[in-house]
Amino acid sequence: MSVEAMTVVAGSAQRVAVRQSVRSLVETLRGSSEFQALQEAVRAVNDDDVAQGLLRQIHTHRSAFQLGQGNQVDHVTALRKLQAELDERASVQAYQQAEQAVQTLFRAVDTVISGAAGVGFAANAKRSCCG
Amino acid sequence: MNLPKDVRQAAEELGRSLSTSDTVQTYLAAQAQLEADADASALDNRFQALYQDLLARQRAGEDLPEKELNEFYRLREQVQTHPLIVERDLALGELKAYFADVALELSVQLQMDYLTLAQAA
Repeated sequence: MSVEAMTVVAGSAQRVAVRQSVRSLVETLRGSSEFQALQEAVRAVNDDDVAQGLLRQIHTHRSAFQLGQGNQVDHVTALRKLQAELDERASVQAYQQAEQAVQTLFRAVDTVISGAAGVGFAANAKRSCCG
Repeated sequence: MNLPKDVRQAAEELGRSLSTSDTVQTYLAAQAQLEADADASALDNRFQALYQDLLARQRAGEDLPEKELNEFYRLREQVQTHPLIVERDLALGELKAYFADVALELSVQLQMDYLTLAQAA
């Protein structure tokens, strides 16, 4: 086998190893209590008819605001009121708490990945745009 | 936060897999070469510090003095033509693209945006 071919095979093996590591990490994260709680919280928000109604109204006002339709001040006032009502919902508060817990989990995971990789992972996981 | 053992092991394994990749090794070697050259390293640090300072002040609404902007352009010209810095920046660009692909794979499989959740606000 040529040196070039061996390099290609080695690179391919590295990528396979990374893909397997990603799969293992996803499996363990999906099994964590934080992840399970967030999924449950998402289901609860989806099943909360009042919250869904508020979200639809927020979407309607936000779209009208962005399109410049109607009175802009009225849209902003309505959006603040609707958001406050939404934030009062128990299902939404549970969702926010669960999301916070997953953030803490993922940040700790990222610290471990970065330490083992020798370079920051999430901090560098963005394509350079402008040289 | 104390991570569960299985999560910690899986995260370490992913980090180790990334560390052995050619992309990460090339970047680390380029960064080490740059740091070994005192002049290049000082130029790189000076440019990064000035860039961050000007960016913060511009975002705060300050009208930046022409003298400092000219200094920025002068340093940028030097940075963009210094072979060790160019090599490091090219390697960093490759690394970022590779990490972005891996992070996307994580997000797709998790059905959650890993990057948004993993980075401090």
